[in-house]
Amino acid sequence: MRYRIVAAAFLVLAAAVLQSTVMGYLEVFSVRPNILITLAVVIALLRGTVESAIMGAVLGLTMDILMGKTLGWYALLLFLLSILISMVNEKLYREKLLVLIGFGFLSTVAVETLFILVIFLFRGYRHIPYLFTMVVLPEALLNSILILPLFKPIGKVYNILDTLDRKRNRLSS
Amino acid sequence: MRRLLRSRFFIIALVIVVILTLAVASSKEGSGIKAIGNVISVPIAPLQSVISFMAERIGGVFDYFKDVKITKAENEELLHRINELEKENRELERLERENKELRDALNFMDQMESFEPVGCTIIAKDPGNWFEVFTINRGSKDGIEINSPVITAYGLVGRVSEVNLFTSKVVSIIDMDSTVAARVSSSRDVLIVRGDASLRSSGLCRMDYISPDVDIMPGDVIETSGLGGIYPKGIIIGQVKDVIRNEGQFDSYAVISPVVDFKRLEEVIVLKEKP
Repeated sequence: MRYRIVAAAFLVLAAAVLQSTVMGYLEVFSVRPNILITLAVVIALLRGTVESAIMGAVLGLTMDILMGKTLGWYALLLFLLSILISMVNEKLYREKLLVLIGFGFLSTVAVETLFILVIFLFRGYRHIPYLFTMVVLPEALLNSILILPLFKPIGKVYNILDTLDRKRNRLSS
Repeated sequence: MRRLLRSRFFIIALVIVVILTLAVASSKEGSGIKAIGNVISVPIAPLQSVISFMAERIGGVFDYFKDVKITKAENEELLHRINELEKENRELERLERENKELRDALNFMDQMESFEPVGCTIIAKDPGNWFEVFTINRGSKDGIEINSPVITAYGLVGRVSEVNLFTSKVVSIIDMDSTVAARVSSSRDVLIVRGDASLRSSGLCRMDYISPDVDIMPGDVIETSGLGGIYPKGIIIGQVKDVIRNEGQFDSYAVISPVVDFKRLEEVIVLKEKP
């Protein structure tokens, strides 16, 4: 359990640092990929409901903190998204390329569309379709590419953590 | 009760309520609840500094090769422009004298004397695609306060929106949550400059509610008016790029090109009010 918490904290901090620094250099047409959303999707595809929900909420809250605006919207959206994905993940061929790309794309579209609706609609902003086509769709495309190199390494990290937990349980019993 | 606590739906509903409460509590700028941001911002601030520094250096190497190619083409174009610029230069010298006189008249220097400039480095840019907020390497321990104006040698950048222990968040003037009381330098008409989500990616902002009698045209210089109590009077914001006239009385707006290049911004100055 201790290793799991340390690994989760490391993942969140690494994602936060990368998102606020390096990701700015990967911008395509002024749109950058979002490693925090992608990571939440990867974890939700790999893990159970509780672990996914916690990680989703923490990654979302980290995104909220980094943005420096209202706290909670990304936390709520990634929390709910992680629960939904983790509930169906065992029924999927999650290592298939198309499944990963599809989940990366659709999850980003869902999260960012709901985010712009919450943030922009309440302010009477009229250009939602423009933002959807010029920001949400390109970001979803970038995230669906970013999910590919992330999936296997994160899966390996969790495999190592599972092995460590099994060893500890065996020793204690 | 124990059964209720074990219910998955109850736990999910509870988490949703907690998050929504957090969202409502943190929606006001300067809310104390945002101090929980220190949990993330304090440990990652040094990492952000190091990675930003390294990324800039690595980016610089690639830029060097790109620049050689571009320089050749630019050189030819620049030769053509020298004559043009010499002519413009004479005009600028005249404008500079005029500008100096105007600034003196506005008592700009006296206003700046009430501020202490604090040099800051940008250590992180906005993580998402919606806002134009960046993180600087100075926080409450350096005396930075919410709403302190942020400038560069060229003009206005924005204002401090959140202060953590070692870092602060700056909302730039092209962010959709930013509004600046501004005026047209030549005509002295007072207007509002605000960020726009669709212009943000191009590094532009807009000037709203232009009534038909306002004398404004492309090329006009826009500066802060000093109204609103956040920004001192006379800081250059940018130039009018385009004026879009619509039929309604207040439907017209102007697209403003800020003097600050937000894509390449690395160092800023926070104006800290002297005690």
